Amino acid sequence: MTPNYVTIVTPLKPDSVEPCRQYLRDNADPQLGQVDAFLECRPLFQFDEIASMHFCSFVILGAADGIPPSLVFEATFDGSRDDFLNDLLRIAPEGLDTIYRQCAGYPVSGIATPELVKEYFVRHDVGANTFFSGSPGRTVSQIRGEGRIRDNLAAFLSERCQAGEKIPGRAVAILDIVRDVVRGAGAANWAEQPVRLPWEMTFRNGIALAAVIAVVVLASLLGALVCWAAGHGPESLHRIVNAWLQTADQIGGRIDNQVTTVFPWVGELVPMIQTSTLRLLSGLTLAWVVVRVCELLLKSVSRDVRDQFLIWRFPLQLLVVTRFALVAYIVGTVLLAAVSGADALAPEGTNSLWGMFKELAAVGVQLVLIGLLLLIGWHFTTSLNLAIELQPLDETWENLRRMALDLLWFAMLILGGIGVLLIASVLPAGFIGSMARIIEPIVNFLFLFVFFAVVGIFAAYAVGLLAMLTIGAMEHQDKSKFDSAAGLLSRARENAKKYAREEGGINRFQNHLASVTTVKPGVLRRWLLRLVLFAINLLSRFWFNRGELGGIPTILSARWVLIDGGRRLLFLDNYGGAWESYLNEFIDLAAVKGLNAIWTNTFVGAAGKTYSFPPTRFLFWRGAQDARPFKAYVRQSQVETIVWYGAYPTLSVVGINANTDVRQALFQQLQPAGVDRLLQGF
Amino acid sequence: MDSIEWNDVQGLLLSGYPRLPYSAYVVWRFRSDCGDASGRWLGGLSKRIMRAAPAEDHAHSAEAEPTDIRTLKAANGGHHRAINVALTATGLRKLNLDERQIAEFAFEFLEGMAPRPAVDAAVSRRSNLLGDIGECAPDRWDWGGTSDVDGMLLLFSTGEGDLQVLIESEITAMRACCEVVVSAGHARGTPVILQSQLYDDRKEHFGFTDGISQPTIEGSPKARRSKDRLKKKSPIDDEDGGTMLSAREQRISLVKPGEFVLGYPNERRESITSAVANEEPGTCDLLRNGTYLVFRQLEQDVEAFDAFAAQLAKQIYGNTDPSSQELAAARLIGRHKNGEPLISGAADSTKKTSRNDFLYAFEDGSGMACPVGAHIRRANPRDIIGPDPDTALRLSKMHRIIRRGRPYGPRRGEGKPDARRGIAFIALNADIAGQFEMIQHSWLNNPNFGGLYAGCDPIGHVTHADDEFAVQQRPANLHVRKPRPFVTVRGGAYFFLPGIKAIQAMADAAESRAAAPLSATEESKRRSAVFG
Repeated sequence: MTPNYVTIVTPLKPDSVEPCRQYLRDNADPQLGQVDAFLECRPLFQFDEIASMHFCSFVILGAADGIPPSLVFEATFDGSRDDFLNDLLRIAPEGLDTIYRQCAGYPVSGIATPELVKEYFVRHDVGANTFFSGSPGRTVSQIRGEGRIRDNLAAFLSERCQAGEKIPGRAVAILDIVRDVVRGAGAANWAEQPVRLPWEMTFRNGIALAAVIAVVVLASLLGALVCWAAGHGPESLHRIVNAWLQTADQIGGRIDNQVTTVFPWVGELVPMIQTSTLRLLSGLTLAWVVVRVCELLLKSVSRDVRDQFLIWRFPLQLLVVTRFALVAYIVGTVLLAAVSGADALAPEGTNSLWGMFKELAAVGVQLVLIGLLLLIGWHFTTSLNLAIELQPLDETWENLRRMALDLLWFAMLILGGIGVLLIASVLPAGFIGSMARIIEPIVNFLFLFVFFAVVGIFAAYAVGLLAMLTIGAMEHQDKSKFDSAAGLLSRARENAKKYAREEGGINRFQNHLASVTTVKPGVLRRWLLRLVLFAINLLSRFWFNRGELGGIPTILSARWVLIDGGRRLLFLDNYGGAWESYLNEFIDLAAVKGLNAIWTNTFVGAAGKTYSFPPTRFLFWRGAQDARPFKAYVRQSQVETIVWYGAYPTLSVVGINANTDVRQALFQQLQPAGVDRLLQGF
Repeated sequence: MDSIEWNDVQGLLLSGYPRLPYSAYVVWRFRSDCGDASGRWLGGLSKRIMRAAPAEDHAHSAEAEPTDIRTLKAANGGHHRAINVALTATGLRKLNLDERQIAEFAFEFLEGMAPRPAVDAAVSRRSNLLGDIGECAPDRWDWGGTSDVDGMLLLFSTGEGDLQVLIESEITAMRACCEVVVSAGHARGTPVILQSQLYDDRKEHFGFTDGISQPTIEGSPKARRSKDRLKKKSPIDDEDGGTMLSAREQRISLVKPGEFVLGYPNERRESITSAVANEEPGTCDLLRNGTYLVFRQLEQDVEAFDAFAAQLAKQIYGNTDPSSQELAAARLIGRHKNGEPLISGAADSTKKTSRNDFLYAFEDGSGMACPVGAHIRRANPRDIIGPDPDTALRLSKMHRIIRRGRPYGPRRGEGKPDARRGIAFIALNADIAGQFEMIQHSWLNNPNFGGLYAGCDPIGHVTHADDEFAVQQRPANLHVRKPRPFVTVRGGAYFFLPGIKAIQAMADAAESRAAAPLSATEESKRRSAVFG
């Protein structure tokens, strides 16, 4: 997937650190443009001549026990690494040669043998353990081109739609004018072509669905394994499932007795359905309602990320799983009843044509009734959905609304089920029999599958709980091993020198954050960190590929790299806006969990002491939410960004993605509402 | 949550003193040879300071001068006054305090609003993020930029004449230890005593009613009254003149006390307290019941603003009639001149105050009524900056400020033709970096605010290349080039507005300096004796 990236980490001779830093500052760091360009490159490092490069930066990491100082060059670019390195050596041969001569292992022949230099770079490229891009798949020229289209159209429309101008009455007519403008601007062919986005983005939902199915299948296998280990074969399992259904049936029986004593006509209402089925359904429904109420209550404890703690999240997630399993059981029960209920009807034996007709008519009337009820249900669900479009409800009413919505959906599901049963009751017995032969094994398999899946998921959660407790124990030990990050608050003045460039000059709109932390000792910590980085890498590639990472909409390109054989964690990040608001997003949005899971495995050293990341609880919680110590920790871990280059330094991630959407919509068939939305985007 | 010690908090936090319309901000610095005089002065001053609630020992004494807001409100007729005092970091450092306690103040406060740039940089990071560059660069300021400022006296009075008397007496009181800072820049040579006035119509120089939307501190008398009132289900308005908050307003503007008073839980459930004071019993927590005070002297160019409003009117409405101009100017601010927000709706016309219970996400998500870049929307985005409206509203409460600004200089059409006018902007907050500065750099001056592409706050002092104002409208949006900012920074500093006990502790520390200079070890011993 584009963009591609390199992270070249080379050991630097200890006495060259300062000269190298100064050389880079004076010769490589682009300056605020005085004439037309916002960012102007230096003659020795003409970064802007590499048309495919999004970002690059130079950072120098200080020596840490046993590790020599190192020079880090990171770049994000389109196309292959080989082409990029060729370009890099072409635009800055002299400058690169001067710096890298200070690095150990650099070929003696230097730039005279560019192939060797390139090989040196490739050898020291550590890539990234986790990489995130805010606008995946977009090339530099595309981002710039789409930005130009939007800017031009915004200016054009602003001019065209001023008071006193003749404006076409219909928005569609304006869109036609806009299209003509784009076509007339020469970039027509390019702009009219559909945007090609990476497959990870195009099939995002499909991939997510496949992942969920895979997880359920795996859980089911795990459940089967657990059951087998516990000594239950398929036979005894069948008994367990049946026993379980029987319990539901008994519960249902009690409800039905209650109901039929109070409302005797209920039994009359659905004579075609066996009482046992009805009882089973009522039992399952009651269980479902109980689970859903518990779930909503747990959810409504608080919507603040600060309250989503382990003891609330685990039960909540298990309840959701249980609820889905119950729905599967209800569907299965209805299907089974549909194919078996017909047999029960047969003995009544109304042979006369008139009797048949009466029966059919009764079923027809009932079906129409069900259809009507479904329509009414649909009406209410729609109005419940619309209820919050204009005005949100407060917490209690919102929960009641959701419960009402769920009950409606559920009632519609049951109604649909009854409809299926009714239809089944009048179908010829032979047809039902053949259906039964197909459906019964499927439903039985479904029951078994769902049962195993639930067992598997509960087992996985039990294992997860053990893992969490282990992590909790490690976190407890850390408190005595490391100093509290709050101690770093007093080092603000020393650290301020590292980030003097932020928010000014060429960094007014986009900033760079380089941070290096030491991984806590212990095999468990190292593997935990690798696992978390791997998971976040998967997530950012397949799920967070629409411009935001866990709710943060300002990251342009970020990477986490384990360096020095996994002893240190390097974080390089290009983000939009100011540091303070960027860090706040990390602290206050959902992303805080991922952030905690990564950095809780690290510490920083300062003035002879070691300070741990603000203590997390069970990997995901607290940690960075202690805002002040966390910010002090980030500042301490921060390394000065000596050189930074960005190809579109005034754009925001939101803007880049919106520009792509605009270009995509420009030449599509649009409804009037879509046209309005498109024009509002300018 | 422990209740707030309002009697230890300076009154300015709870009230803008609407009954004391005349005010003066006296900027001073300690004399280098003042010895223990500074301690004596501060000690005396602490007894005159206006508190937010009656001091315990004075609760029922009938004094000539009210020293808390409740008595001030109850007082009728006659001349009344209010005095508040705030110190900068350099001021604190001259008070002989424990270095460790000074280090506990926020870094941005210690560094100051206009720190000297690093050796190889032209502009300091703070000036960059505040947008204090070019015309607004600190070295052009009248005060606070290149000159040292140690503190500020905030004086309020009922009458203009009485204010002069008050200024005289307070300057006399501090003569032994402090001198009034002399202005540089435009007003070169004059002492920095900025006199301002709250007009009856509450309008600032551009002609708009100011100070409508203020956060209400949870646990403040107003919040308590409003909650009680809602429980009793009695009418919202009462004899206070509509100062009760409706349930909707409470949801929007009730903010945790820690956002404005140090020592109490804030929106992130943290309390900022002194670790030194926590560890050493008997030591006064200098942070407790204090808050940071951001002061900016912002000069307003009313003619340029009006000219821009006329240009905007021409492009939106096709004419420059006074009514169109007013409407166009309202688009820049987000409220009409009388304070009514552009977001219409069920505004209760019987209420005396302007409607302030609106949110944007559902009422005006696309900015058709109130442009996305309008001043009030940038300065307080309510529920639009975040993943969903509910979360956004919760997050925005971490970035509120209490504004106590007042206009200075003659109103438009009055005074000499070249008279300078502007606003003495005051923001109170517990975290300058997270509140005042964050609003500045991420909302007001951010060209990408709310999905926009260019432009800054229409009445801000910052400008970027291609600065513009975007008006969301159908069929297509209007982008109007903004020639230059209408506001210029003329001075400013970050102050700390300490609690009364903290002022007394500072006075004690300074007074103990009376003895001859001590060696370093002796001094630290003596200091621990003072604080222990």
